[in-house]
Amino acid sequence: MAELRTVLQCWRRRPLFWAALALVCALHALGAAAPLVANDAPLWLAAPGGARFPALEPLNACERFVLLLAPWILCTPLWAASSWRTRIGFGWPAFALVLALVWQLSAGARTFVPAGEWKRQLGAQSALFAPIPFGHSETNSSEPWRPPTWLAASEIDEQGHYVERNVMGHPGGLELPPSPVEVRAGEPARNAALRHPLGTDALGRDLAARVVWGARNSLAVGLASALFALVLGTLLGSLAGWRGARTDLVVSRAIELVLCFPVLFLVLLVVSVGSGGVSAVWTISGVLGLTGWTGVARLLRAEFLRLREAEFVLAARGLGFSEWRIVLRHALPNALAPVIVATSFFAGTAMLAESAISYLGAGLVEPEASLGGLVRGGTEHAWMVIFPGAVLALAVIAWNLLGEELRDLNDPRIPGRRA
Amino acid sequence: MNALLEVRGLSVSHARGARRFFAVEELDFDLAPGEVLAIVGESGCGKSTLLASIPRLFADAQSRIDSGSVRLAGRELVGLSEDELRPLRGAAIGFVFQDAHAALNPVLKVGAQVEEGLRAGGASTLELLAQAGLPDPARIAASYPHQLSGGMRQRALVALALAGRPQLLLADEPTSALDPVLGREILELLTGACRRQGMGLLLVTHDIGLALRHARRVAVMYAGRIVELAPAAELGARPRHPYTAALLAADPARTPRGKRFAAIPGAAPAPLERGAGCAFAPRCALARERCRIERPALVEGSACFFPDEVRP
Repeated sequence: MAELRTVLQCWRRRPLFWAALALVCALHALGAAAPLVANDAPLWLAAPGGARFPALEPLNACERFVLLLAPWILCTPLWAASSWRTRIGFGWPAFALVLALVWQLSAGARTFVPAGEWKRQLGAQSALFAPIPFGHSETNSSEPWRPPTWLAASEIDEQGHYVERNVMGHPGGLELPPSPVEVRAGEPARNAALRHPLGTDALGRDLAARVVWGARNSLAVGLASALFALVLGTLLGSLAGWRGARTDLVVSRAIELVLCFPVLFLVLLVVSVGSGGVSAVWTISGVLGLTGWTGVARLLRAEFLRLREAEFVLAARGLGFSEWRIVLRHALPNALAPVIVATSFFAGTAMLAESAISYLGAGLVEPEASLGGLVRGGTEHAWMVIFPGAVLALAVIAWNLLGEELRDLNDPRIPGRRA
Repeated sequence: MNALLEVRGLSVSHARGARRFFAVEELDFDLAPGEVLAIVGESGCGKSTLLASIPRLFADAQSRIDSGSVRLAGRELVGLSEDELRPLRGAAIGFVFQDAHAALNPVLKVGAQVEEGLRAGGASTLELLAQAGLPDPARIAASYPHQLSGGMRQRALVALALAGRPQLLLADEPTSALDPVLGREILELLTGACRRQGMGLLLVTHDIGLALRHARRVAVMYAGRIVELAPAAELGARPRHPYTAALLAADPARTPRGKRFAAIPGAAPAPLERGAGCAFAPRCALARERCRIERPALVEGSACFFPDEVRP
């Protein structure tokens, strides 16, 4: 109870920061837990040889680790405001890592089942499906371009005809040859409001499932490229600022060189050349990080040039602290505030860049979803633009807001800090 | 007497562009354990450089000790590498900076900063803060520097300097940012700590009145050199260098009410413009031909050819 009061007190001190953090965390938790949120494979299945968990079977070790992290991400606004923040903040990921490794070692070979196959083979077995019982690549040729099912315009009769014929969602007002809607095991009924709450695309894939998986990929690109840029920019920027002289000269010229690259074309080039077995998510993150570290580096360089001369750094030296200790404990924390803001903004920008690339058709390869790619998939249909676009906008706004609030939090001159 | 600090022939130079100039030249002095030695002089006379050169804490990486020797409890410091010097800083040599606002890390709590400098076997953080005269040390320890007043910050800085239990404390104008009453309290705190712990204190100040009040001996510096070094009482009563006499005459506290205090005509020579003779000669009423040609050495505590002609 006392702990709950601490948390509430913390939230009340800086409500906007905690709201932004909660939003960012909720979106990322949704992405991390995507296999449990939207999946055509059942979560649980009463198979003859004992219970099975088909949704988890195709995951690799990394995906399992991320899945185990999902509750931790979701609960961040809770534990980060409590007095156990250090214990949970480091303890849970470490525990999840061990658990993921054990799980990986104990699990059998990963199985790949074609999309939708589990539902077709289900028969009379009892099974539990995900809240969105569709896979991101599960097609259904009987209901292409279906508008969101809670709209009256989306109502379909038994022959597969739209009841309100003239408002149909396919181009040129053409009716597709009528074929009865195929409702598979575990799916809501044909005209249930929640069958396709966000509609479907040209191949009858559920947009809600694709938005969840697309957000997973887009958020992963944003986070990974921001972390990459943060690490690289911090290393190079602080090195340049602290060492000065020739190191500074080299790093500064490198920054100017990198700034000259047209980032979008570079990503297009790298993605089209291909990256072997590496997923496009990591390739795009890598390129965005490799070109995006300059902002962080320039900020840190400037801060370190100032801090190098600061009297408290001289005072720390006067207390006999080592150079590493002075840099890590005295200089870096004083330089981080603008860097954190820049990194948060960069996460949003990177997501936008990835969307632009996917919108151009060069990002993730179908059937992998990304928010930008989804918009590209159906610009003539309102639901194909509005829903992925709204999620993207929400994510970018959340990151930017979090950056702003983090900056205030790290500035000791603004009252109410250390919320 | 076994000296804690022995400085012999110390010369320190700074770089300005490609040129180097001496900020401190051929200094000689000793400091006994538990003794307070004040170094008095006007801005730019090299007193802060002298202080920084002992633990080699130069603000500018280009500055260096050119010659001379600095011995701390018999151990030579000049020539030690940075790695050999580092363990001595804080632990053997404490430093109190002038501007507590700038010398405390703004993003670390005061308690955490003091704790970082603690040595095993010494007083705890809270004890140190209490010793530094801070009321409610627990609250102060949990505060950030910007939440404290100027006087409290300076006290916290003293606690920080004492955390490593140094044998030698160097204080660079520790009170010039404070009002006189607070300044006196801080100095009493420092001198008291020295007496109790047998720690030597080298106190740099531009206020000769303050130096005479708090130090046992006073060294007066002018243009990078010590011009007079004498016990405080003697120096105050019978200065043996015209510059000391001029400084005393210019001290507002010693000037009778209603009288204008005397200013010293002219300005101290810039380091690159110092000639062969006595650096004070151009401003000195006693100066003769010899003063302009030959530089007087520090003999019997005075670097003047005519110490007996100096009138207080």
